Amino acid sequence: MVPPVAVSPVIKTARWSFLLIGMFYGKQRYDYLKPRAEKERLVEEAEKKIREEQEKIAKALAEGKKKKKTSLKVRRDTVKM
Amino acid sequence: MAQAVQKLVAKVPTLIGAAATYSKPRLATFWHYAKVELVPPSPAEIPQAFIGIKNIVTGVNSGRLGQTTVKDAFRNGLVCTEVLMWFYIGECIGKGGIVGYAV
Repeated sequence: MVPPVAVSPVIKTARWSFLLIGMFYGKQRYDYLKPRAEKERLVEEAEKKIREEQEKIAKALAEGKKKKKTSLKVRRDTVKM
Repeated sequence: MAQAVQKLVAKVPTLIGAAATYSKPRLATFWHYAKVELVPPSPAEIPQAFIGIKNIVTGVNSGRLGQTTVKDAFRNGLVCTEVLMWFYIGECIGKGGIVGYAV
């Protein structure tokens, strides 16, 4: 086996300091993003409710229109006869 | 179905044993190298690190670093990339996940 290399102190300090800085940065960013994500979830839920209501109304209107169309067709046929 | 599950459950200890026998020598070699190469710098080495950085800066200013061969420059570039990647490993540890932030 190749003997382990003696790593220069510059590289060692750089590696470990980057590791610590990265851990610190990750924790900070997580703490920054978490409340924003909660808020966005609440807003998204409220908007979803409104959207679903509107979809229901649109669906009901579409069904009503379809019903009217079919009933008109039937009457036309009987008149022709 | 139940028999197949039983057979699988009976196999698990042998699988764990096989994994242990496979990984033990490899872990030993990893530890053998990590004990020397990946240890954090001792308190005596940190001032040496600052002196080393100053040497690099003077090397840039004097133009000595312009004389490095392509081979050496490539090797140094790889080492720099590896050192920078430790930042992202730290970020993964700090945010508690590998891909993305679990908010």
